[in-house]
Amino acid sequence: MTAEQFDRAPSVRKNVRGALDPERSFLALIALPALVVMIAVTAIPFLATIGLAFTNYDPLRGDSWSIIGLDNFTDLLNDPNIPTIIWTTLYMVTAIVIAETIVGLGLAVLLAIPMRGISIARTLFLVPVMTAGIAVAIVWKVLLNPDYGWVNYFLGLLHLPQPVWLGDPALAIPSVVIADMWTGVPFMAILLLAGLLGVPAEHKEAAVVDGASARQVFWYIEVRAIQPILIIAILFRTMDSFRKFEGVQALTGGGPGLASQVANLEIYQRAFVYDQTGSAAALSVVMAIIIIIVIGLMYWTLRRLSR
Amino acid sequence: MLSPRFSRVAVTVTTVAILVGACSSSATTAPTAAPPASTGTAPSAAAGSTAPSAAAQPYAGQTVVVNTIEGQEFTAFKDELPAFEAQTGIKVSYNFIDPTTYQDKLPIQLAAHDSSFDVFFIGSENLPKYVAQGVVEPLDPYIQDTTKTPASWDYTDVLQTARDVCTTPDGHVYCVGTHLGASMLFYNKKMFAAAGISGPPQSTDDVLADALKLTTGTQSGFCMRGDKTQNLLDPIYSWGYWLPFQNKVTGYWFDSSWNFMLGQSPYANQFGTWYNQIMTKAAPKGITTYLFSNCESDLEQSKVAMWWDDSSFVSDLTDPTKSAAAADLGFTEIPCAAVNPQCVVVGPWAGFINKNSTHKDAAWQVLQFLTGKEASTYAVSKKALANPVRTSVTQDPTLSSAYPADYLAAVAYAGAHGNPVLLPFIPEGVAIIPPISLGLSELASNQGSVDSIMATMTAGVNAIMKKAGYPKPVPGVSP
Repeated sequence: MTAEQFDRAPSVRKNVRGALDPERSFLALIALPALVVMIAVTAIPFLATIGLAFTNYDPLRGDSWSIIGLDNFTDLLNDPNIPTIIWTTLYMVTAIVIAETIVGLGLAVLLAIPMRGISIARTLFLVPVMTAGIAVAIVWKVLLNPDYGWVNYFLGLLHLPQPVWLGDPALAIPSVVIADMWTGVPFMAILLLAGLLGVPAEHKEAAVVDGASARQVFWYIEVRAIQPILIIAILFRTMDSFRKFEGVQALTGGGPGLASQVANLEIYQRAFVYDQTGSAAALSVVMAIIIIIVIGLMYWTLRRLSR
Repeated sequence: MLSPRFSRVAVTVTTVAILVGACSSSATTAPTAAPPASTGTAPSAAAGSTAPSAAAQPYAGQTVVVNTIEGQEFTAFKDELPAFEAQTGIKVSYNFIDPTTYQDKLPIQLAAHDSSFDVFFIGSENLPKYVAQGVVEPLDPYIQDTTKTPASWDYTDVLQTARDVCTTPDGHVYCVGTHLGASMLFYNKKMFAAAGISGPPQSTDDVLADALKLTTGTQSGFCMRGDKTQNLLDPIYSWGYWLPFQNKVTGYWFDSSWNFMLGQSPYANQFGTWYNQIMTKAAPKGITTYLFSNCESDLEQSKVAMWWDDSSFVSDLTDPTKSAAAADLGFTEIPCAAVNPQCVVVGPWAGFINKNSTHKDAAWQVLQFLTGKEASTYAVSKKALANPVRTSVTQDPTLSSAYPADYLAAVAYAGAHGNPVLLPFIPEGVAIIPPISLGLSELASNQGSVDSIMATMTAGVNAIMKKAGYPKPVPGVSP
């Protein structure tokens, strides 16, 4: 290619110059380690999981595994517990996301009010977010103990019913949600607080001057302004809730019965307790598809609502 | 170019996301450091002797890695290792691992042919699975080789039950027992007396009746692990009072035609009703989330009057620094019913050699030492080993001076009426657990009628067995 041809080929010129652009090269360079890690710890295991789903591999069979087609998926279809497990998972995720979004948004509004010591309060709200999920679950297991837990103690002081939180099938998932809120609400609040603090004060002042009430300022100015972050936060929380494992394992072990048996716990038990690796992989694939559909629908709906 | 506002938001979001990702991942526990050394003085094999010659130390310089749970028996065994190391020249790296982590991690390590450890200790009920996987080393060639095993390490000194559980139907030995876990009923004599009950229950019907009588607004009559992750072990301990023992491969789990015994009439209804009644009417509130630690704690604080679990807990229960009820506790085996003279399930803990170990001979020397008479006697003397498997140690006065007489009488009964088949001796022994655990959890939380729950449980077990090809000929089972 001559210099003249080069100048006449805008797309080639653009690509080459783009590649040589120091800023873009730098960005690519700093993204490279993340890309490599993502491929190593996410993409490869994900592909391996898909492959395992079509085999009868389990540690007991060792080297004698074989490809069995869709048998694992057929077994899942015929397993009477699977619909309950998927329903329980969706129930838990929905409850977590709705509860934590509403409470988190309210908390973010409170934390956005300028007052003395608010920075300390904002920092303290990071503590639950930085606490290991398993530790949180164990603490909540003690708090919710029907005999000596603090929750029932205070309910007793108020002469309210003292339920068997983790042992009652109807309360098992609500208990898991309550325990999760301790870490999930600050997470949502901090994300939404970042958005609220970014709303220009002039916009709110102008709305007030125009006669808007506090409710209208909150709803039409602040919530509108933080919608992109709200969508991201809800999607993050949804994906994270689908991943929930250690909290359920430590709090209820999936019981009583199937009352809190969520998909991740079932997958873990099939793979690592009962040596049904292929079956666990098949359930993982099914759950991945469900999550993709749910997240896609949520993203589409939230985007439409935000317009 | 990104706007400053967007950048601020993006940075905040990303930072928070990274923090959450980093901090909320499952806590994994690395092998923990060894606990503080005992203050006791370990008897030293090499104490007072001169340094052994190189010829007497054929494995000198090798490092053997031992993995085990944190337990007082294993802590006591560790006290003796310096003497062993001095005598043999073998360096022993002795790792204590949190029990929950260990139960999860070990199968994965073995399945992955991990060679980073040489010897490991775990319940012998895992043997069929490990043999099927080909991940444990057969030990009979080592035991029979007099160049590797001196006559003083007498394998026949190990109780027959403990030898049985380490031996496959084809006669190969894969493990050596350290201590014998047996089903046992712990009860609070003071609470029994206060309720007007003269002595420990003599049948499962008595257990239920006494438990109901002992249950009040402030205390519960009975405790068993109810959390779905642990709820199977204790019912297994009780089944022997309803189900007839079949053979050394399937115990009371399956008959010779591979029918799931617990699902058969009248056993299903008899056991299901008993379990449902005692767990819903006489157990603490929230029993379906109870781990062994919850039952132990409740018994130690006199919140429950009876706890049916493993005999190994005796040391903690009788330690007044740990148990407020130590002086009030009694120990008993419920006498076997006519249906099954081998009603007491025993599940010895045992040491194995990793098939992928690169120091198998040295590992065998370490395993011999840790399962030898000297190590056991020392652990008993420290009140760290309540149920040794060596006959010579059980007859040693050290044991009778360390533990209550009723406990030792119960252990003797367990030895005479022991059922060594904790789980069926087939590769699918573990695979059948999920439907049973689920059914037990449903029984304990009143999630259906006893008959329907037991029928679902049985259908689940049958489906798993059918998929695995049963009924099929298995030595020692099929007619």
